[in-house]
Amino acid sequence: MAYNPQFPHPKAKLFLSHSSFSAKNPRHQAIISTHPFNHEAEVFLPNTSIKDIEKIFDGISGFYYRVDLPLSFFLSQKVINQYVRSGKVAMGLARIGGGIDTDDVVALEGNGNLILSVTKDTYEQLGLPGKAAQFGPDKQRFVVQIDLTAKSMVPGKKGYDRIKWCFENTLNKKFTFFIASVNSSTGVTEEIEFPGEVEPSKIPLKRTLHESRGILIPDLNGIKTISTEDEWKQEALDFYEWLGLASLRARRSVRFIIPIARAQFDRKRMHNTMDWLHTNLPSRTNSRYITVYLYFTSITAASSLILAYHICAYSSQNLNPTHALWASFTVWGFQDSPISWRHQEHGHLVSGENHYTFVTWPDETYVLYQQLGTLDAYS
Amino acid sequence: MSTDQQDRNPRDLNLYAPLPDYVRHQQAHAASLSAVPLDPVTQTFVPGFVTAQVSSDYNARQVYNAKVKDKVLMLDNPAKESADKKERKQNRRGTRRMTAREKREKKVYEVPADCQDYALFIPLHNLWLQYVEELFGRQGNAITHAQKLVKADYHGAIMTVVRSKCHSYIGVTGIMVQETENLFRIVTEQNRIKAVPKAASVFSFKVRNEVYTIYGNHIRYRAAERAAKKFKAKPTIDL
Repeated sequence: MAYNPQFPHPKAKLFLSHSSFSAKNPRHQAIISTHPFNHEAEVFLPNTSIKDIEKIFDGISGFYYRVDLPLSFFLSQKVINQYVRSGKVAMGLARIGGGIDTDDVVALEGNGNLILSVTKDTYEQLGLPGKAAQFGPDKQRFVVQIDLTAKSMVPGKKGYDRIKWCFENTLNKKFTFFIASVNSSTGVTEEIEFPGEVEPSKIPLKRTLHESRGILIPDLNGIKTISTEDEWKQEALDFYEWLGLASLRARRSVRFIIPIARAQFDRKRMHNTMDWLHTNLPSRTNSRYITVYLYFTSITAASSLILAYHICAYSSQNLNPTHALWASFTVWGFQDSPISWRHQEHGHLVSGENHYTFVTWPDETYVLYQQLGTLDAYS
Repeated sequence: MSTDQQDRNPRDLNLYAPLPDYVRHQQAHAASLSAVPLDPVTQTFVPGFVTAQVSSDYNARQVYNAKVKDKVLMLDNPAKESADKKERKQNRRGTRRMTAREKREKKVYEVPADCQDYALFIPLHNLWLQYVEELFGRQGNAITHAQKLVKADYHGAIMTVVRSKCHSYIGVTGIMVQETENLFRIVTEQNRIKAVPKAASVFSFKVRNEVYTIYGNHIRYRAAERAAKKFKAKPTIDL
């Protein structure tokens, strides 16, 4: 019985790659740091307990602001000098209404690039030069990029004055920004001074630790020995799905979604829509291991993510070298983000996913899953 | 019937009346006046030559009388007037017109540099405001005013480009000094003349606390033509 659509449907993409942290040209740094807009991250550590992990993750903290700002805020010299030009990386994302496929989205990157992804109506009234977006109907979306760190961004210069005029006259509505300022060297979030009439709400990084027992951890030795055969790919994909299910289980604490391995297939528990999925991964039959899921929700700068990542990647091996299995680290990007990786344009069709997962082993090798939606220029 | 007509004033113009006497007397004189200057050599030579040439099928004398006698025949194409002779003739007339190229070179229709001054055109703006006051009258609402404005003249109105497909035109504000078929020439407060194409632009001006918007795409006619034009509804106001 086929209940999947028969017509050609838009395909999301998943890129699988593998490398090692100690390799000569570390790719993981580039992948993490060129993906600026993230709102959620999760760490999955099998066979550890919360007591062991707690102390380490206490070090990860931060906050961001949710504030209604007019765009002229970013042009004030104070903001440019204090936050954008100096080592403090300010990042923010704002959208009005429906998201990147229907309305205007504004994003400020860590390197001082202000990106406006606007609709045709807004662009025709805006007055700033921009290019037609790659995604969406022809010439219905435009992308305007402003480099705030340029030397010409000084009052008195024609370019700056024009941008200022536009932000004060043609596009003077307030965007609800999620913005954070991060010290690029230490990775610590810092405070932002907003003008008086604006009321920011400071939202701290929300961190949750879950412990789950009785989950059958699949054996990833098959995935660790990398090959280009279809079998390997299938195992890797199966594991990815398992990881997703396990994460859902942890968050929802729903007991009956149990990752099922081939060896144990329990028909009695098939009363949920998820149950038809089973993985063909071999499992460890010893179910005494507990796993820890940590997820934190915040708009996080890439630098602080690297910090978090290193903590999680090495924690498991340091704590239980004999029992260390593997660790995984997943980061979700904003669905409405105008860029995904390396300044490549990103759109939203049925979903705007742009997230990635690192699965690492104690010997510093990893497999990286990068998931992208249909409308993305990076793929 | 003729007697009836003759009873009337004989001086009346009667279509069928015979020609007056003085005309008849002049007929002969007129014939001699309009006679073609004939060379005596031609007079003696031509009849004999033509009748000799006519083929034996035709009556030579008849052909000569019908086709050649008292007629002017063009034996060759007339000489074409040379170009400079033509120009000389034109110049002699006194009304010498400039070509489009000359107009463009001499910038006949452009505002000269020393006149590109906003303050200079403010009186024109005031004049336009008075004109609009007259146009609107005392009564009427925005809709009737708008209908009147469609056929009105905009020279002297303070216009703003509100929307445009090209980003650099957005925000141009000033007094409109020239309207051509496809352009508005606007003098800005920085004393510069900006030529804004009507196509793919939307203009707005404020009159009596009401803001009127003109879609440039729909108004691409010369100002004089627009006054008499019947406007049809366009499918979209999209640029």
